[in-house]
Amino acid sequence: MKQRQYYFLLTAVIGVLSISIASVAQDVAMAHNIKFLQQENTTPSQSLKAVLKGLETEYGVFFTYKNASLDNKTVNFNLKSEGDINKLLDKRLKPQKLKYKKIDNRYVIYSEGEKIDFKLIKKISVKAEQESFTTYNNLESIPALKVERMSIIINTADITVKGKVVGESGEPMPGVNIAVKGTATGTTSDADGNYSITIPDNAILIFTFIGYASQEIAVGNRSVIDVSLVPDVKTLSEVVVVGYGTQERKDVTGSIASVDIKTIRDVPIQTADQALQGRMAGVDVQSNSGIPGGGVKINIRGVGTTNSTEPLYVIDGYYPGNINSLNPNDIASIDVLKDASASAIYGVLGANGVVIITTKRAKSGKPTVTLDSYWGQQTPRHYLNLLGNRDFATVSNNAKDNATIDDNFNNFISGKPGNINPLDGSNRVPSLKDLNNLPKYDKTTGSGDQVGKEINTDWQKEVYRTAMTRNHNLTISAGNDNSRLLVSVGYLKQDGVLKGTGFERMSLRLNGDVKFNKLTFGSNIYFAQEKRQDNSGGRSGGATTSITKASPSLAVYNSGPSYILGFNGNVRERDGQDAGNPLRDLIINDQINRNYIGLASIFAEYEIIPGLKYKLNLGGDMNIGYNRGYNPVYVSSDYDYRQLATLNEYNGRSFGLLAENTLSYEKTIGKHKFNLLAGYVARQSLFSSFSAGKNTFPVGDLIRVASAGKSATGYEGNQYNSSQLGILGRINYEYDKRFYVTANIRRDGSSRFGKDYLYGTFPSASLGWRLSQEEFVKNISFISNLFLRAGWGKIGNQDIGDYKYRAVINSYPVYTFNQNTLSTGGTLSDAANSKIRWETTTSSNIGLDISILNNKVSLTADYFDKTTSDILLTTPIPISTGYDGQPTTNVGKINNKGFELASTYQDKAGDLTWALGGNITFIKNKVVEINGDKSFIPGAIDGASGGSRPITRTEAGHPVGAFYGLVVEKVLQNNSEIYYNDAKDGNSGSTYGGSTLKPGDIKFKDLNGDGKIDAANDRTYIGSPFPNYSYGFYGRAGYKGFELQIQFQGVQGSQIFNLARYWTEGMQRNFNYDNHTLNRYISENTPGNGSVPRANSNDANNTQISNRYIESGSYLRLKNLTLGYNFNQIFLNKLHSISNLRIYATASNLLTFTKYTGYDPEVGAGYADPNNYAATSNLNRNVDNANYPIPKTLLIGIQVGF
Amino acid sequence: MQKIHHKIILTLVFVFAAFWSCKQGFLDKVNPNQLSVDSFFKTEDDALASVNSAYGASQRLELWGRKYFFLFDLLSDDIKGNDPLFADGQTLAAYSFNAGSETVTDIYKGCYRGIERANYTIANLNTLKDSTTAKVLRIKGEAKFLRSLYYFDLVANYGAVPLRTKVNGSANDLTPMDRTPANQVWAFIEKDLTDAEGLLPDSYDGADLGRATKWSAKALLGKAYLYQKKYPQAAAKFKEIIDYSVANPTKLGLMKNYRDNFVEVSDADGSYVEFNKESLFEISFAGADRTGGFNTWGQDGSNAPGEGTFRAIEYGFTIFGNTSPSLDIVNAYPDTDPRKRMNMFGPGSTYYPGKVATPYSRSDWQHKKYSNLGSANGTGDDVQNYQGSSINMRVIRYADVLLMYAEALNAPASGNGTAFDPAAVLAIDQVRARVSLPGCGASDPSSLFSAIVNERRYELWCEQVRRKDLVRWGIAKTVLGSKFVVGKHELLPIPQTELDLTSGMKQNPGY
Repeated sequence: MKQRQYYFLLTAVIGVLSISIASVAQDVAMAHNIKFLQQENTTPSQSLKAVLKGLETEYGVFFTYKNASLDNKTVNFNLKSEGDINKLLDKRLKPQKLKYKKIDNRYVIYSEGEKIDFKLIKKISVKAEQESFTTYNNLESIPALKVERMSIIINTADITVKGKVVGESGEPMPGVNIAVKGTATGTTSDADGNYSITIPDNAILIFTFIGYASQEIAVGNRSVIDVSLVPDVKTLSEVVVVGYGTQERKDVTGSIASVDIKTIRDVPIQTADQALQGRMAGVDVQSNSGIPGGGVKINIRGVGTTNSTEPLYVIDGYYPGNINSLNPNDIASIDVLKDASASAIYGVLGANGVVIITTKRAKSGKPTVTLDSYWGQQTPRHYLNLLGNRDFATVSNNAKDNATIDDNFNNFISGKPGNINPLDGSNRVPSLKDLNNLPKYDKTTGSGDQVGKEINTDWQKEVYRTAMTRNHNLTISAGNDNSRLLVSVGYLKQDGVLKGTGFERMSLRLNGDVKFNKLTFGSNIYFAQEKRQDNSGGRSGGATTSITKASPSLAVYNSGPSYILGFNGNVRERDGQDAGNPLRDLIINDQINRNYIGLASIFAEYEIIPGLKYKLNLGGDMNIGYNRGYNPVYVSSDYDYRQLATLNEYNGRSFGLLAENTLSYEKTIGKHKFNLLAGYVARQSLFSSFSAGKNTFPVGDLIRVASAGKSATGYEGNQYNSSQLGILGRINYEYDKRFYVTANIRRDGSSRFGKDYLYGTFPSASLGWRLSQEEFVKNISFISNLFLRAGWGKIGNQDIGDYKYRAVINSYPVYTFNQNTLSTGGTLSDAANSKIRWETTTSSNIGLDISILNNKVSLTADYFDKTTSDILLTTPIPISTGYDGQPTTNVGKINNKGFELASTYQDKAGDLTWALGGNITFIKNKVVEINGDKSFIPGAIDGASGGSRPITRTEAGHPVGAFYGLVVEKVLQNNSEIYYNDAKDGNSGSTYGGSTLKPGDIKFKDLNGDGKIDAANDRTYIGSPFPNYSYGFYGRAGYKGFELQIQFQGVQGSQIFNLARYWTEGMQRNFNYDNHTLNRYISENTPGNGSVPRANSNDANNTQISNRYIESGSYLRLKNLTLGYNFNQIFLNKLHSISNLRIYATASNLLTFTKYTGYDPEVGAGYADPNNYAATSNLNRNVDNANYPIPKTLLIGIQVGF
Repeated sequence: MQKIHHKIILTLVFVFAAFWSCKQGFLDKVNPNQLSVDSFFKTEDDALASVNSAYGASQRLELWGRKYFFLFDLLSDDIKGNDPLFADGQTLAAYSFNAGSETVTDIYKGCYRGIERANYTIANLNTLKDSTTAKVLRIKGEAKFLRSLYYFDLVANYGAVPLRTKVNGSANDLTPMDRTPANQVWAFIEKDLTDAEGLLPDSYDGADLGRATKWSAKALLGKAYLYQKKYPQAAAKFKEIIDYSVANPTKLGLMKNYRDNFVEVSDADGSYVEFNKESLFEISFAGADRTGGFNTWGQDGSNAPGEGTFRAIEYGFTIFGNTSPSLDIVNAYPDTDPRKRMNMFGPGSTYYPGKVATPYSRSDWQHKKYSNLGSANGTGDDVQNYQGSSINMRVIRYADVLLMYAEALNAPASGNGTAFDPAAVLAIDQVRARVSLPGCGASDPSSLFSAIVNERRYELWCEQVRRKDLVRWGIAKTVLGSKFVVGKHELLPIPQTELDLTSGMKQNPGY
């Protein structure tokens, strides 16, 4: 099926391509100048042209020739003596090296070897009433209807045109490409910007220069043409999309960041984070995971709530949209409304900021076809240094021996694999006990020369791979002033670097516009099918974690007779924390998630009177999610098998509807300019799901449908719906291009709010003052623009879940009467909060926009202070209320303060142009209040020991999800260190949970000085997942056809809790270890490096949640490096139909500078619901349980335009 | 052309208007996944389901499912804690618990859970179309009885507690509530039980067996009077029950076999003996195989029959053995009292592993009451296999009523009454006669009081009344020793979390 879809798509692409190539080729051929000619008279030598004129009347024929070709040609000719015209011409023209061809009664005369478009001439010869020769400057200018009876002389006199190319401010521009349209003729401007070119009469010159808008100029009669080129994107006339409209960038008073579309237009974007990450100040973007199709998590201006911080995505006016299912190739612009004064127009949806995405639309003009394809590969950026079999055996034996000694050889620890062997007096794993006799490959586990050698499996090499990725995108755009259509077809296939993972997307977009007098219609239609394969069992704690645990002394394969599916397995009992055989789980399981996405919206706009417009926007979206997971039977060892094959299917359907009516009015009276907006919005969304499972399937796993399963394992389904109504209004006022005011108001009602708080009102306002228009600044010559902005606003977040305000009935609490008669039950479920309402974000913003040196340098600085209050948290309630659950109430408060700076610089020298840009964001995140300043919210659970010790805490005075644990003081070196002076209880010193320490154990700090280490009193804040600052910068350079783009991105000062090291350095289980454990404490004489404790498989101390696992999360990453070459116009003309050709190579995540030892310092979100790739928790940020690593990518691509 | 424009505008206006008009109800979304409070409590059946859930609260781990017997037994001299006893239990046995005690918190929590469910039932009965049908009135009586049952343990053990009497429908009504003086709580209990007396029937048949009856309410009301030292009222209330028993000996009275009160089927004849005529109220546990469901112990969140109690497993010497009969009781219990070996295994006892009587080989004494070991219906390995027990826990039985009646009549000995009443001796001797013991022989208030103390100890051993009796009688320190601090340990501490969340709430003295 997969293959077939692929071929179908390919065929469609090729089909469309062939048609376009054919028609475009024709056009290009037409454009070639035609050279024509003709003949003679008898007597003495006469001008050939004159002779032809005579023949015309005589024979009733017509001639067509190129004026220049016949210049100075003479013939001997006697009109009367000649008979057949063909012979006549043969005789006269051949000596002149001229040929002719008859088309109807027209003779086309041309030079030998010259190529003539006879079809065109035939086309021109239609009908007309004109008798004499007519001269035209080129073939195409001949009015076709009048031609049939006319002889045509084409003037092709070459002329020389000179001129000077200058830039916007009059500076000379060297190296500008000047080409004659439709020919291979061309030149470049010299150091002073001067050029000179000889061209055919009436040619069209094309001036191109990287970074500047190309210009086409018809030469006409001019011989001197001076050209002034304009930069491609003029910062000041840039338009940004604000909610319900657009505004000129320079006039925006709120805080709006935009992705500089130039920086992504020519870079292949596989995932949305590549378009967003590090490109805007104040916008924090993280990949959820390195898994293909994993999506991104975006936080705008800090984490403002412990609930969802997903911004609102508005895609072509429809919301809420989903950025992850969008084909990134379709994106035309991305604008981010960062502060409340900008986003309040979106009311209860706007609190986390708004990302407005506009997709490409067709422009009127010649139809264009663009094909963009790239191919490449992805590889893991970094491997962990895990041990080989001998080192592993050594550490493992050491751990077991220490535990045995601790236990006085009596008590053997049950439930831990590899611990139990009381009979031989040792705890050692039997197979690893003797280093001289480690497990070896035999005939079933190894092949050929492997047999007899020690098993030494590198699991990372077994499961990671170089993964292929490919993308094809075809965009066809056509239209005129009244109707336009853009069609975009995309196909992306990405294999994951981890085997058994991959992503595939097919998408189709149809964007149309129709204009009908004062009425404008538009439509956006998008369909996509996504397919994710994920056998890794979750992006955190699944296969990626197993790999770090799997024993190197376990062979991968085993072809033993009882080994179903041929994978080897652990020979000892599993206890649920074991790794098993990670490769097997990735290969044999079959976990597929499909999404069918549709989004359609239409709008109609009518201009009632000039300036007054009514707009209706209607849209709907659907997402049908379908997951299927099949896990076959396998036997890999006596302890490692699956008895029953299972199949689980899930089907979720969501539908959304949006209807918006807006009325806008624009009016300028003198120096006053108004823009008013009012609107009414209704929105609704429905969701339902059904899931079911079965087990026991026919042998061989060939039949994987539910009906084939023998027993049902369960089924369930749910439904959710919600709705929202809103009215909105906005005033933009501008005075004298100096003072600007914007005020928004939105009143929203939501089905999620309690009756008492059904509607909320969200106001905002912002002011701008263009200082550069004031006299005192005007005189400062280097300042081009100086704009001071300030804004304030209040917005809501309704992302609080459905039905929270209404109590429901729990019918489970039943009772048995009469011995065994089960009764019905029904009582209030957990307490509901009827007053539940939106979270409120209030933010203030002050900003300054500066442009200097003729806009070469621009700088935007913003300071913001944002407080989210009424955060929904579960609140402890008095026990006497009788409820078990804690109701959610609007109680928490979180503050984010920050400073953002973004700057760009662009310039050029000679043939070289360049631009530099950068941004930096400082944010201070602080919880102000949780449940009235009393308690905290526990975050990620360590999960490692099956215990319930949270790794993070969210508490007043600290950042959200700060790491919390014990503090390592030192590794105890000898017995005398164990007894320390501050032991107040006279005991042997530091203990944890009652276990007595030995040399080689970690001594944690006794923070409260009570002489013992305990969870209640000695834990503290040990790190923050938030950076001090995050930054991004890019450079772009163009030289002739080459262009280079380079983008860096990084964070500084954050910490990562490397939970994977709990296993790899814990040395408490028979799992593989990393090479730091070779520096462990072994004895007083071999104390290791002083920071790695002793190995102990009965450890209850060293593996406590502590700052032992905290690492710096700072990194600087070469996010993107692209080198491209644009073939110039002159070359392209030789290729006929191709109007644009670019080849490029791109590397993503090529270099990463970090001290972090895990897979990747960009940890991504921790555990997330696999059915909802966007949902992640802010409470476990930067907790890395060997999360799926973000790969390094190398791509080559080609863009062809027709 | 102009016409077309008009049409378009009209259409748009229409669409616009359509969205305005759908405003009504557009934002009112009902949760399709669970019954909403708005759609529940419309019928008698809903009311019944609601009160059933109030019964269900008693089965939870916090109450009779597990913690109830631990708390009150460990705080008495009935049992001793053994080595595997959970840490919190050890603090109970040692009287070193504080306001953070998990068990003390759990009882408090379990009672309030039941109160909330009863409150919800009572508050909503009035919203029924017809709230005066016999069934609705009965349900009201049941709910009031249950509410009193839960409040009884709160006020008797914690003293003043928040008196929550209304339904707490939403989080904003969940404001902390300070403690209500104990006498007001008692008054509320009296009122509820007086109402319940009038609303409840004499008995039930079939599927309703086990619901609170008029006699359940009277017994609890009498007990409430007794605890408040309102002796004449208490005696009068118990007398009503005794009179009924005399008139209807088949409906209410002592069972012939003492052990029939702690098993499901009688050792004697294999008949089903739960909800027997001696039982005035019991907490019902049931397992499909009468052993208690393994997966559902102590929960009321199950849709399957099989809510078991932990009693058998926690106290069972064949597996957990968390507690044993205390040395005090073993020594004090006369060997001549047949109840000793009905309640305990000791040297010379037999039990029934695999239903074959097997000699008990240990030298110490262990629990037999409420155990399937030694029960005609149980098998020896029941406890190990199922970990739960489906034997109902008796809350008040007729023997208790007789003894409380005697105590009420003998009020002078407790300091409030006036004269020796031979009727009290008769009541005690009835209880003794059932197990073929001679009369207690008391002849004055003082010896009668001793007889009551002893009889209650032997008859009601491990039925969670001992500690309350000792406190009530003011002899706790004498009996329990110095670990019991007078002026402090009469009451349990209000749980710390409750205090933390209620500003101004005062802890009981000493904690």
